[in-house]
Amino acid sequence: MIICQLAGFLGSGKTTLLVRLGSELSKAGKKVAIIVNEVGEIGVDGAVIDSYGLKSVEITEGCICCSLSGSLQNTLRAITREYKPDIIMIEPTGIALPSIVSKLVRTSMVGEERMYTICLIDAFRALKLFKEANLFVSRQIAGADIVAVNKIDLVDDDVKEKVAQMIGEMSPQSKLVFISAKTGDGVAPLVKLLEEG
Amino acid sequence: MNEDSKELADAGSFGLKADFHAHPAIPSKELVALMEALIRDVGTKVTEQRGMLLGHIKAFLTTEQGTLKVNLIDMDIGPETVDRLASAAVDKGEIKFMAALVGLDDHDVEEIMEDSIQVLEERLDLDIEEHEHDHDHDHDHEDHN
Ligand SMILES: Nc1nc2c(ncn2[C@@H]2O[C@H](COP(=O)(O)OP(=O)(O)OP(=O)(O)O)[C@@H](O)[C@H]2O)c(=O)[nH]1
Ligand SMILES: [Mg+2]
Repeated sequence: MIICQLAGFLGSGKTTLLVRLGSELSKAGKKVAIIVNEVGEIGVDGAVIDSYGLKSVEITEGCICCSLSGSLQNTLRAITREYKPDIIMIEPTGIALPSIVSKLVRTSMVGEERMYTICLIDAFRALKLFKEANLFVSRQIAGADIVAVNKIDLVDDDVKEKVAQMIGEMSPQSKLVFISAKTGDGVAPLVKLLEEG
Repeated sequence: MNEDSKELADAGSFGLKADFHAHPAIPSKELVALMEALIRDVGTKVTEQRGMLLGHIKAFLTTEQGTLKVNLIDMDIGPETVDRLASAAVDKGEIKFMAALVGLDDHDVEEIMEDSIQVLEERLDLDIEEHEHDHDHDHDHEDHN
């Protein structure tokens, strides 16, 4: 079993990428389970994901990296036991810290062979985000296995370069990829990674 | 975990769910425009209050004729809509509507959204499912770690 966390700031494209990856992996014959967390009392993403025929469990009313950490671990265990998926994808809220979520996954002892954290960053808003919420966003990015610069359909090469440079400084060990979750551009290698483990 | 990431991000959020009815049935095109107006209204109010929009405002509608999704992240781009409604008109369905925004607290976000929802009430009958407010609740049933 592979566990993949799709993290990133509010609106960075996590659900869009998740639906794309989940659909591709299901088509390839993989059994995919999804855990999605929304901060609000009422979530939207669970319903969106389900409308694409994917199987999700929505955790609401708090954040799985803090107040609902126990709920995340229990849900992971229940899904592993009852559904026996090949892949579990986790979408935390846009204001979660991915490094804490990874730690919680590891300590929940569900026996995954591999865990990946992919952190998305919205290329169109990146420079604004780095300015207005630098500390928080850099903490989200730091330590991700892969940083996916998303929405590249909206920016030119100049912006891409600037964003790449800033991410390189924030998390030098992360692998950098450029994608459009919307058009599917650049997504195939991520599908392959999760398909092969 | 002692750290609260929502506080760290200085963000507030609110979400609501409502059943809706339209008498007479609302043309799908008009429904799309109405939902976009709702989301844009929240964005405008947030921008007025905070001087910027940093976060995500989103709505998802489920009907027997399909779904409609509207997201707003940037006022320059405007609302982004995915219309998967398969019929020309809609008479009922369910709306999920939420926002998470930097620089506002939960109460501010709730106030703005409840004010904006009036945009819909001119054309739709809404049966809003009120969520119990218990902000000091400790989630003690989640205390397993
Ligand atoms: N142009 C463009 N828009 C995108 C892309 N990926 C996502 N979006 C849009 O960005 C908005 C937010 O996408 P979501 O997938 O809901 O973002 P999210 O990170 O799941 O949002 P939260 O869960 O609320 O934090 C939607 O309107 C998407 O259509 C992309 O590659 N290009
Ligand atoms: Mg999402």
